[in-house]
Amino acid sequence: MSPPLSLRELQALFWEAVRHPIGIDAFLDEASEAQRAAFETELEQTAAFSRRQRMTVYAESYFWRLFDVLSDQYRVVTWLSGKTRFHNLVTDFVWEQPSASANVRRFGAGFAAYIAQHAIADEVTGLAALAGVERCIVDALDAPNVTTVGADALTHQPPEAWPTMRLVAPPWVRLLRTPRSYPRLDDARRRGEDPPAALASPGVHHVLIARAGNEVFHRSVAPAEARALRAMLDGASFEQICAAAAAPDPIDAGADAPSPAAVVGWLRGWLESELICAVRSDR
Amino acid sequence: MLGHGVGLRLAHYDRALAGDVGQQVDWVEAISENFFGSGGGPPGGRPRAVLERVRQDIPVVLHGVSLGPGSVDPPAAEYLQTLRAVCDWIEPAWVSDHLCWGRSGGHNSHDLLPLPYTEEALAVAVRHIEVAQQALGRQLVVENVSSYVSFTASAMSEWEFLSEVARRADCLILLDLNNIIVSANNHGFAPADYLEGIDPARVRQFHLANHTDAGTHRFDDHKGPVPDAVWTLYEDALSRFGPVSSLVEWDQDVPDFETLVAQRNEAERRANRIGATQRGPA
Repeated sequence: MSPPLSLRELQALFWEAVRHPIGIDAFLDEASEAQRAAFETELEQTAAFSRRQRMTVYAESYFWRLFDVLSDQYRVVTWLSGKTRFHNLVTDFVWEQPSASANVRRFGAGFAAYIAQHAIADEVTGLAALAGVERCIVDALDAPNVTTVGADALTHQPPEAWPTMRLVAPPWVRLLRTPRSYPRLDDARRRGEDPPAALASPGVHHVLIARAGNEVFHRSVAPAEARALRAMLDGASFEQICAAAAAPDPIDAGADAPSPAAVVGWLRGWLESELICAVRSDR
Repeated sequence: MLGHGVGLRLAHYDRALAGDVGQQVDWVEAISENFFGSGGGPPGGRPRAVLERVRQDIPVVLHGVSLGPGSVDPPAAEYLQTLRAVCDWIEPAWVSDHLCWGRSGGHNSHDLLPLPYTEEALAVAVRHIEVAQQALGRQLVVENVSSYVSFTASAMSEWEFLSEVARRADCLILLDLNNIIVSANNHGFAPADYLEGIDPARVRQFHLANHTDAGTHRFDDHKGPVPDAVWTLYEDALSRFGPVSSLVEWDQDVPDFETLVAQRNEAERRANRIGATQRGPA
């Protein structure tokens, strides 16, 4: 008869059993002789509730808790993938990348990168990029607070300061490029529509994720505004932001450059949407 | 004693922001890790606004789910630093977590896994609770968990183990009365024996919740109103331990706030009937 397990050995056995992707019976089928013997000798059971059934309670709780977190945080990914494919994707992720964070909300931090190298990425167009959008939405929810600025911060700038001034965004602002329109897909999901078929040719869409008054929001951004916004987020001067907006559109070469009035309209919208927390002058 | 409270859940954040929560309950319990910000301190955004708004009106208790003091590896320093920062921010009435394990090989199960009731497990849990108390600069309150597995190596009862951990680590006890009912059914002991085995001087708080009868076992899912068996044990516990703060947990199919408050009011009514109503410092 083997000696009793140490606490470390017992916890390692328990952990390997509950995290097995197929369940306790499959774990025991694949376990070593020593593991099976320890399972029998270390765990109590009763006639009505076997040790396999008892461990299954923990195995199911472990998987479904993490499944629920991911399906709640990645709603468009869940919807687009479909029930079976999403279940299989989560099974693979939970098995290959067990949680390294004490905060279960951070468990899915690497989900988008995981999807990018998973077989599902070839089956559902743009899934990894869309997962990236949903991660940014989750992260924006509780990103550190900073005070945003109003129009005064710009109107107080003398005209000669405008070309070199830099607009600083709060930590929650993200602009992502996706092959499918995230806002359109999210609207369709909310309306209860069936997910669309796979795309023959992916497009280029820009989605802004931000937070205003503690509420996280996202919206589509047109290409010219996206170029300007991306320049701002990259730390460009206002002159460089305007140049980025006026640059030829690589997708639609015939598109008109935005008018000065359009740029002013964007700036007003960025201020109202709390996309700017500081204005820095290089003077 | 803080009085009678409820677990603060996402479904009621709007009510909290509107200032309603503090008008209807004496205190709330917030899940500690839900208020861990991404930068290793308190969160920003809505979670921050919610907890600060509630804290303006009533006491908040931080209730953790990831300390896992029975895990063989010690609690991560980063975890304790973040919890300390959250404590310094919200100034909770107390901080609680579970007498269980949950980490293995650097990974988190996000579950409350059962311990064998052995000297080895006792020593590990005591050492890690002491580490946590040192890091937080305060006494911890530790809670008994529901369990489905017990171990042949156990050399003492669950209540003896819990009591000895509390005595050696000089920490306090959160008695979850629903968990006692669940584990008593799953392992075949008498809930009254559990209460008898606990030192009244260590009991800081009660949890009240529901569970599901799954046929082969009782499952702790915090779904639905507090059942009669838990209310009866609550009255027994009040008779034995005197005035103790109570808290209603409801985590699945979370009802509207009024329904939750009605459960809290029932806890108060039963405490009043038994005469366990003394208020004052915790």
